[in-house]
Amino acid sequence: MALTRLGLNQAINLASNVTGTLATGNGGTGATSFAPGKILQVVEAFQTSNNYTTSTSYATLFSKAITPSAASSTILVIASIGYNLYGNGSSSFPNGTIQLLDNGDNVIARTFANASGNVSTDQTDQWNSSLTLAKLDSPNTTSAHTYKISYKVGSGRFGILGSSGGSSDNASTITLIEIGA
Amino acid sequence: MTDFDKMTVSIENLQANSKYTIDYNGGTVNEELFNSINWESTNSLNWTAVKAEMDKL
Repeated sequence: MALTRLGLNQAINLASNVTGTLATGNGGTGATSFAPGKILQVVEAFQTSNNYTTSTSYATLFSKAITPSAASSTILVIASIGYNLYGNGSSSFPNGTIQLLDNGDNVIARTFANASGNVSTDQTDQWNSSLTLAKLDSPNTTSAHTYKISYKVGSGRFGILGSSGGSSDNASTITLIEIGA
Repeated sequence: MTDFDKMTVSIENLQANSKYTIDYNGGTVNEELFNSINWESTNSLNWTAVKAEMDKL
């Protein structure tokens, strides 16, 4: 490679003043061992309403589908769920469960929300907080693959907090990230 | 206790162990909201009875 000596405050045009092959980072095309980015796509859905349950059977809240660009990809699923627990006049220790389901309705992650106990004698205390579910999944497909969030109460009343008005601010969300092999 | 909390507590008081889901986003608690409840257990309540119980709380 020819050398060019630069004077003070003199710029160099890499495309015209340098012989040989430029690395891709400098605008060239000659990389032979370049590792491409692994994040291939990211999609997201959010819960747009507040949903409450007194049922001990799971109900689906919201879902999001992703179509992997390669069967060898893995999908990182991250769900952030805002919740409300309420004694509902019947429970001193309200609690609920949230689970993440894959395309075949298999449970691939689960978490539990539990209140520390009612202070009031009429069992009407409230708790608001959030939970996170995360799972690295290998669907081994290039077809659309849907992930779902479902919830149920164990005791008292269990609410999943969304966001009204179509905004994703403060909403419960599910984010799907396709990671290349 | 909000009106929504009063409604669900009243349902529990009148019909213990009721199982249902409901969407509620801060609007008025009225008969329309009560009728939107998705019951999973048998329900024999009506809005008049629930409202009367709410007024006691």
